[in-house]
Amino acid sequence: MDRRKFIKNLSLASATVPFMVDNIMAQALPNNLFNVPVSYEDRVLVMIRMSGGNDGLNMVIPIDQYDNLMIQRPNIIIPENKIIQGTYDLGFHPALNGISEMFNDGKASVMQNVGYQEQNRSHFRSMDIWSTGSTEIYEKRGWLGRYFEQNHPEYPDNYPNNINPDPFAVSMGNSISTTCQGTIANFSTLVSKPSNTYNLEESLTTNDGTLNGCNSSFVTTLIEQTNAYGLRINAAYDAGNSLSQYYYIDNNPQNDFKSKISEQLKYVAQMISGGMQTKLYILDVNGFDTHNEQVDLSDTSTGVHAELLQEISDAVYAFQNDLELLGLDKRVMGMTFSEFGRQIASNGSAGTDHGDAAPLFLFGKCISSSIIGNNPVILDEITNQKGVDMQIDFRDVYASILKDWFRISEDQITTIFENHSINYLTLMDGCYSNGLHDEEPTLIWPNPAGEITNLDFYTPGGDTRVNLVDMRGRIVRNYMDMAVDEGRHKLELNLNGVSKGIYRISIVTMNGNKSVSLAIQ
Amino acid sequence: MPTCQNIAPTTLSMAPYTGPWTKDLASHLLRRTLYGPTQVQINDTVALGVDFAVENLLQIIPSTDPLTWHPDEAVGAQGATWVTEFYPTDEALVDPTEDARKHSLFSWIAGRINTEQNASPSITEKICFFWHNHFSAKRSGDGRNTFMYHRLLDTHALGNFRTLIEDITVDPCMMYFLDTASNTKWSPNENYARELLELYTIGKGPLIGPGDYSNYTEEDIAAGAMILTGWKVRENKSAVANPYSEFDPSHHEDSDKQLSHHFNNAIVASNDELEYKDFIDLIFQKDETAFHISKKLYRFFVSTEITPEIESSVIDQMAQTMLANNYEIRPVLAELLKSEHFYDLVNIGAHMKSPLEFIFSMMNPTLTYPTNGLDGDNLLWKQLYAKASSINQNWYTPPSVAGWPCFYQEPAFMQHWLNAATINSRFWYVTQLTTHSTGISSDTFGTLYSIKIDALSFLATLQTPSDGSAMIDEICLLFLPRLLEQTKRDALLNTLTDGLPEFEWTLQYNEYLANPADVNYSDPVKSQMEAVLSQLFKSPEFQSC
Repeated sequence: MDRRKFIKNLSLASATVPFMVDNIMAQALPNNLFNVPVSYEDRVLVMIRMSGGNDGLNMVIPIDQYDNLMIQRPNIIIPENKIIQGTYDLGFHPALNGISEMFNDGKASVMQNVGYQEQNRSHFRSMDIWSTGSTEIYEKRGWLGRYFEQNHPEYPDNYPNNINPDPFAVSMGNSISTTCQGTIANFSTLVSKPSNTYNLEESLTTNDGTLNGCNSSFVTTLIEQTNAYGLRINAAYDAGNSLSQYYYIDNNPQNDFKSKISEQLKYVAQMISGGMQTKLYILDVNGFDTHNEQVDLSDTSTGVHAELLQEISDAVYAFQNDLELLGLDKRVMGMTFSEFGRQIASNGSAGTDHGDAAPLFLFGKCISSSIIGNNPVILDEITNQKGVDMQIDFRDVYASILKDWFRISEDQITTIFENHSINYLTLMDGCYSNGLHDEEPTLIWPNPAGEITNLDFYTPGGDTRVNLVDMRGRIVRNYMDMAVDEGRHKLELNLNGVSKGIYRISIVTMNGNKSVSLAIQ
Repeated sequence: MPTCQNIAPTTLSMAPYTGPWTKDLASHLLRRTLYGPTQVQINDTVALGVDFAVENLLQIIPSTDPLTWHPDEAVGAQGATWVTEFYPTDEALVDPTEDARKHSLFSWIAGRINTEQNASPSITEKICFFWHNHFSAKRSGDGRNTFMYHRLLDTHALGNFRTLIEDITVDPCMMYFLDTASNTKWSPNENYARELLELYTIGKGPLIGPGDYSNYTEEDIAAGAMILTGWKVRENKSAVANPYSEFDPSHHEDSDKQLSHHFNNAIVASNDELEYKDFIDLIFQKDETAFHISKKLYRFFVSTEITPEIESSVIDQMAQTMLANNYEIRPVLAELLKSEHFYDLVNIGAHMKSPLEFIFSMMNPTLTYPTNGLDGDNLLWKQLYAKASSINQNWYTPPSVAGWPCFYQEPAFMQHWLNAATINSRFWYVTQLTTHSTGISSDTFGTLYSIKIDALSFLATLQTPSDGSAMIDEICLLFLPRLLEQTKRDALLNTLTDGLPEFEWTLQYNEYLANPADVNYSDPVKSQMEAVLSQLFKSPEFQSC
């Protein structure tokens, strides 16, 4: 990257605020420089990686399987009276009070039994599979690295520039996420403290194509990007704000305990509010490899795993609260993930060994508050090494986020996940981006319904789809798929032949989606 | 920006290197086997010739025991070792003592690396780190366990790999780390058995069927867990003797254990406390085990860039040598470090420096080490340990059971050491060690100790310090794996002379020599040289080795 060119090209440089490159004392940029219209371009995804393999069965608890769970994991099971009820047959770990409240408020959803066929129980191979979005061993690029690379094949040469002045992705903490690894470079930059300023000595190197030349060239680019992105990160952080009182951070008098993830999410909120155009923030929470003493035996609702869940739940809750106070809640969604779940039966060390599928959380204002997928079935007898069977392929979650959240074409998404046939899920809901129509009700009657029900709904106009979606997020029937006028519309929905159960009617429009539950009897 | 994959080595030959034995190549050998070779070490290595130099390097220098220096140690005497001391009997003294021992372990490791500069070149510290990265056991609550684990790595570092695996399996620190200590027949814990196969010995291959990792299966992991049931750690907190491991037959599953077809459907018959060795024997009968550890040694000592050709020639040859020598490590490394392939241009400078390599490749070649007595030395070494830790090389607490991502995470490998935060810290450490007024310091316990490079003393060790041009060439050769580009080399000279003609430096230096005690003469020389070192250490090329 030629930094002089960068500064010259950068439209910000024409503003009255001086960029003093030499001592990197960029002053706070006026807020209005970043006041761009809210559109899909501004959408942000926050990924929270739970490293080590999260025990999903103690996180989202299938209450209808409780008796058999008692057989499988008597020493670590959460006491039934401490479980937070989510639905009639599903509950949350008591440490998840924050996330369960978000679930009740329509700001969080549960994806059940996420994983992939033939689960690899090696931490490292499985994390690679989750990071690359590919089960093929030759794939070294991250799934988001491939996405960024499609649009920015020259990266890192001449980045940042005036069109892309900010990092594409930010890894919070002390190491870079492989999710954004491209062929040549990683598309994420690391932020440990956004208030840090950088003035690292730059120098040129030539790359002769050997590993040595390549490494020198990598360092040269890293130094330049650290300086240049550092300016932007710092300016956004200074211009931004954070309003929530719920973070567990040093100077919050309400909370005596300091949480790293809380602090990092606070930084993220502040950088977004300061106008960073970064699309992706990745956070990492370690410690989920709970082979040993994951619970405190005197009270199994406490212990190491409970503390980890509490920390994440509290931080996510504060972050969501912050986004709402900042008016950014429609621009940000988040997800959690882990390389695998753990075995159904516990071991004798009050822990659990490596398993298979596990639930994950999605959160944000625009998320459909639902449970996609079924409760896992737990048997009444222990099968050695048995994990939870996979129901939802993790790549379907990624692909659906790319499609519904970032509005990327299916063609492009298919290229990213080339060895996987994608089954799109409906994850978004209730988030009309123009903000005018939240008060428009969606009416459905009768509900519960028999063979026929009626829908009365609002659409902002344009292409509108009405789908019947099952609890696994699959589209069972489509009732409308056409351009219509703005306003309220009525439809009679034929349910003949649809199995009994809980479904959602999902209304997909150009400006956002909305859904309502429907019981079919 | 071209990718890193397009230049292949010219030679894959494992035949002994017989070409000219130059300073560059001797330095390459030492950069891979030491943390920061000194000029004396490089010259000695050149003089020995490649064959003797390698044989010399492959001698383990046993480290001295960590010493008590922290005032909170309640049992051991100051200045003596605590590793054979017992645990405090007074509960209130346990935490402070453990803390003191932890700090002693921290300073111990940094001190070992720092004092490498004063000894005959030996691979000891590098190979010990290799094994620590390989096993990646975290620090145990009882410092004596941590010490014994590291002593075990020292002892077998160049010895027999099978013996090392046998011993580490029942090592208390490892038994706590991967839960062997709580593995019983009633509820087996798979943690150790899984990593024994996946990471420590045979290695995992692609998943070729449900639970089948090419070289072993999930059933083998379950069987392995059963085989290892019954091993306990006797903590021995109040006795003088160290904690030790012990077999308790009542906790051991004594049925036969069936292995998969990858082990020829072998049955491990119940054999009590020797059963784990029977299992390990079966693992070591598979050539894959030799191949797997050879590949790791190759990455660590040669390059992370492994083409199929390298795998089928160089690494295969390493594995054959290992098998022919009954899993002895030394002959494998001797062959590798003497080989034509090792000295191929493509491999020179192909590594990125780990944080400890980064720090000590500034300190050791400039002969920088603390001389402040027991407290001062150890406090500073503890500081240096903490510096390396804060930029992701936290010895004693590796990030995961697979060790540091820099040695396994494709495709970036060692580039993982560097990111916006760590490059910033690295540059700050350069500043502290060169141009900063105080240096790296520690003011714990009320006394300020500090350390930085003594530019004047370092200059005095160089061949022609008064000749600016020659001196710059000399230090580039000492500190960088490759020849520096002319423009950058000239920029260093320009910094040295402050933009003046070259003779001005000669004049300045000679005046200083004539008036060594006069700061009016010494200070300018010192600050110019510090600026040169700072610039050199902040150049991207210095991040490689």
